[in-house]
Amino acid sequence: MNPVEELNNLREEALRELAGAEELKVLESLRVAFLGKKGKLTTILKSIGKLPQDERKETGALSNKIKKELEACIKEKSSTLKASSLEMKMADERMDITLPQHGSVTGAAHPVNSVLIEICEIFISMGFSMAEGPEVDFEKYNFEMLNFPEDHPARDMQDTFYINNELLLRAHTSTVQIRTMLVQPPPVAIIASGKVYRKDADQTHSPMFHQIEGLMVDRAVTFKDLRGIVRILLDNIFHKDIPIRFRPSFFPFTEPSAEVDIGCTVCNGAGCKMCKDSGWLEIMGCGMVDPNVFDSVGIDPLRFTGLAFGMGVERIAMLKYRIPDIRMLFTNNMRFNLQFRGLR
Amino acid sequence: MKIPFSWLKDFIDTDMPPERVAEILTETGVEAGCEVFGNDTPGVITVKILSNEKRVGTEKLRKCVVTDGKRDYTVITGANNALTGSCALFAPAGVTIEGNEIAHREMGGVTSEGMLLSLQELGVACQDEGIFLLDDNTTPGCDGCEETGLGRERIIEIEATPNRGDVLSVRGLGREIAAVLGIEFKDRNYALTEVGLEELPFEIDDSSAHRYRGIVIKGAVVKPSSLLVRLRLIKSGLQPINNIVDITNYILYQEGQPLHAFDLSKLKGNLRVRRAIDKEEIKTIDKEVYRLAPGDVVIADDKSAVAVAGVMGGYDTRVDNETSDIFLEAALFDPGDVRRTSKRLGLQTDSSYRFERSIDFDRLESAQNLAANLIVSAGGGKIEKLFNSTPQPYSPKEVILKFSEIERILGEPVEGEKAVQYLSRLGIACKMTDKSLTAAIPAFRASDIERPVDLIEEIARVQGYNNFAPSYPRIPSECFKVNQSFLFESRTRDFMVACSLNEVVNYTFLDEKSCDDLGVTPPEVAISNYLNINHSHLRTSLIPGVIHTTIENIRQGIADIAIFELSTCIFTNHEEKRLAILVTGKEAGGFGFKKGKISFSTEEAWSFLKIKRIVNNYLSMLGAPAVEYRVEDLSFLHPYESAKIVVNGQETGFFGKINPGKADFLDLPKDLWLAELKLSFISRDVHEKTADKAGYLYNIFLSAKGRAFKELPKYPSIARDLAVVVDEKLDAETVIGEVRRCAGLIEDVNLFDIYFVEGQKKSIALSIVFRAVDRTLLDEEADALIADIVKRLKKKIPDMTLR
Repeated sequence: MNPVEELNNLREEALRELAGAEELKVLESLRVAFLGKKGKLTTILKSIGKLPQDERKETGALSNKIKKELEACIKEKSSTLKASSLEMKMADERMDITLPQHGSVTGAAHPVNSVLIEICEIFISMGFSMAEGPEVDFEKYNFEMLNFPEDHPARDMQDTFYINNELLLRAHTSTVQIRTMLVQPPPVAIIASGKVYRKDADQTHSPMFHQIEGLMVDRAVTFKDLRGIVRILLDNIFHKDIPIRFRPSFFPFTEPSAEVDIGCTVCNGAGCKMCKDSGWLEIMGCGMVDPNVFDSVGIDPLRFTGLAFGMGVERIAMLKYRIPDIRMLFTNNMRFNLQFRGLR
Repeated sequence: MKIPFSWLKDFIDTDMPPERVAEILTETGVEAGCEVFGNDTPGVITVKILSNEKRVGTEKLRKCVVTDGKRDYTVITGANNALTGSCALFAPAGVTIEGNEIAHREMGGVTSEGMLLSLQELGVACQDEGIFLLDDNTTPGCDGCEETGLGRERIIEIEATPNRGDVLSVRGLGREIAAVLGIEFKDRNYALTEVGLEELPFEIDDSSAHRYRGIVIKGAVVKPSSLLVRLRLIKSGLQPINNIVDITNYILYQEGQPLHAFDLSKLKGNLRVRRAIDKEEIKTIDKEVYRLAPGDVVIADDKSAVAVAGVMGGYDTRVDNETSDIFLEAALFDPGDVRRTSKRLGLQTDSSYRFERSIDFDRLESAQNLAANLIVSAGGGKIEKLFNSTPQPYSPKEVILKFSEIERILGEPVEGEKAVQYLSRLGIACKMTDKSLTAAIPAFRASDIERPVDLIEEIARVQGYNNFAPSYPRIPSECFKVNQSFLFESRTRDFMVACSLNEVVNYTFLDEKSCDDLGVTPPEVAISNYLNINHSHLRTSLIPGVIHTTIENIRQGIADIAIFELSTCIFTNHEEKRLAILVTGKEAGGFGFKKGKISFSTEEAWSFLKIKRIVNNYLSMLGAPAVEYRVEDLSFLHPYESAKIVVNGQETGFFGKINPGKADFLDLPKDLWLAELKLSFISRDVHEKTADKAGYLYNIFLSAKGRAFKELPKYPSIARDLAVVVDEKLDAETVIGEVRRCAGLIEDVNLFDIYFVEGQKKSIALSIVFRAVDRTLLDEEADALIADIVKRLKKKIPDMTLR
């Protein structure tokens, strides 16, 4: 057999066997068998020198060509085999992605605090600062300085828990208005929030509940501004352009004073049990700071005006989430609380 | 206060439906609702009772014959007021009352052909005794509902704010409706019909009343009031009693002037108005005996107090069925006096309610005259004597309002003429100049309108609050400050939620016993007028609350509980925001993979170290620099599984397992862990800041913000393991601490293994990392450092051996 014939036979044999290789191991042994130091092709290449001059060139060129061809073939085959072996290995590791997570689920903030923080953040974004005060506070901050005359029926509006003659459980967060204005000259733009207490317990009243209250004092703050602030607030808590109604009312610490109603969120004003067929739901109180309050904290009512507003957080939570009884908010039954996971 | 619309129509003419009137009242500042009086019950007719006889053999039943003018009916009734000659409401068989059809009924051989009715049976909430009687001269056979307004009459119910005493009467509300609708107010003044009155002997202590007026009527006959008066009272929610008492109530409701009628014959000697004597007692018409105090005002005769001024009359001098001579009182007592007395006695009446809210000074005389006239016209008798004294007369007030003030407060101008017009509709007469108006405040608004701003509210109210377009103010930014404590609390809450804990909110109230039972610090502050004996004190720890929550949830069949609370604790001189954590039951596990196989790792129990993870991670999140855990000795915690949390050398809380004895006592699981941390200090002093108190995590949170970058290491570290055997009771931290205290080059010490060996010993394995800032450490150096450490440990822990 002449060397050219021999080489061509070798090439065919190699290509046939490479084509049949299904494992990287086999492929490697084929590489060694043909292209290794003692491989068949290598052996032929080594023997080329012994050939006659005229055959040497032709045979040399052919064997190099076959070597390159086989190398390329092995490389291609190898990457194909590697890919399919990785694929098999990964298939072995198949995960049932529908299984439940490992470990406990995230907790839930209390719905009242979720609502409270949501509202506080609206005001903080608008540029109001947060202010705070104690829950047991002085009688004078809760009543006297807020223009509640002694022996006046206005004091019945908040049936109050007393500690002694001087201290009480604050009946509203308005105590923080006084505390703030006593130490901060105008302008003032604050939000106060927290627990307040009244002697009252039924389906819609809890002896402990939460309030959020805002106060803005500056030159030229007006009733129309109050209408604007309330509009922005309710647009953001409920939905844009929710119907709003201001009703004249009475709070000793504001004049003029107003109650604010929103269009009933259950029946959209058509009339239902929730709104007692009125189409309106009472949502907050507000007004222009009474000059007597300014006098009590040493702010000149002829130079400054102020707007103030306040709301019960439980009331808003109950309306937003259709909670029928305020007491459910404080029984802390996990089946109840967990319904509000993800609100914060 | 409830007012029948038909009564209001004595004062206003309007075709507007009562529902709409109520809505307008609500929108203009007097919250009002509207309801129907009773049920419209077709077929109910008026009848005259022709005869009434007792049924033999029965205790209560009576047989009556009634007529509708066309035919007679036999009817059996249990009522004992179905007297012959009186008229009543009757439902013949076939009429349906509240869903039940009246049928012929056979009772002891007599067929009852219908039913004599009370108002209660017709859907009226009132206290009826027997059947409802009409006037004796009622025409039989008329539509009974038409006659009484059942199902037709609308009742306006108002809830007036405390400043609006002026609308607490039919007349007052009529005036308000007229003002807001812009229609005529039909008002009348009444003079006494009798003339030639004598002066009554009377003494008045000038400080005790602003005004006092008494009329003596002699020879009146006490009997039931007319149907009109009775129906109006019933519709207003009052119970008719007799013509004299009813008229005083009728006038109270119509005119807003409280009146009291004494039986003149029961009064001893001269009358006087005076302050009560200490411990003086009076039995009032509700048959209760009250002990008075020196501040109280009373009406007294020679013997004793006969009425608590403005609150309630005395029992012994009340009008009864035998009364014929009456002393009719109309007075203006001081609102504060009446309120103090009413509050102290816990006795609020229609009268005290109105006195507290101020009464129209100018209207007393007319109202009392009308009452006297009505008593005489209904019950006969003669007006004989009069006493009239005004120790503290009312002088009308004037308030000047600059028009520029209107715009300054409301944000838009209201024309002067318009303002004057609005105010005059409310009965406030004004004089106007270019730049201002001068308003004369009538007596009926005197307690509410005193300053220019009060007039501005009235102007805005009549114009309509909703007619002021909103404007959007610039929020002043020079006063803005980031509230760190709000951020601090928000982050704390979010962190706890991310740790799978659920937030609870418990009442601040508790009782001393629940603290005692648990062994937590007792409350320091008590409520003097608590609502509920279990809520008599204010908490000084959140632990009783989260324990309570747990007990309640376990009762509901929920055993896996992981909760936290972030609330205030109340102390004598300050308050603290605290954080409490409670976990019990299982922490959820889940599925896992091991060697290609799915395995279900059973649910995992909570443990001391899991609670420690939460506490420790929380403290790191806040940036707490040096945290130490020391042995805690709180009685409600497990003595060997609880720790004090010490941050920067300050005690800031604890965590640990519940004491098994307490768990038994409270019927709680023993595998229950608790933590409480002190978050922030809240002062009651306006000028004291909360941030700068040591011992609170808020302070740590604030100070952690100050930090500086440290150079990253340039040279590699070298690590060595060291295993020592020590007494099994020795804390790991003792060994680690000693290692750390060895001088220089130690970068980190990590505990990686503990196991117990014979002889009550344990092996502690540490990985110690050394690094020099200026060079690469050599192996020999590390070996030498380890040798130093071993030397130190041997010195400090003599029984230590190397493993």
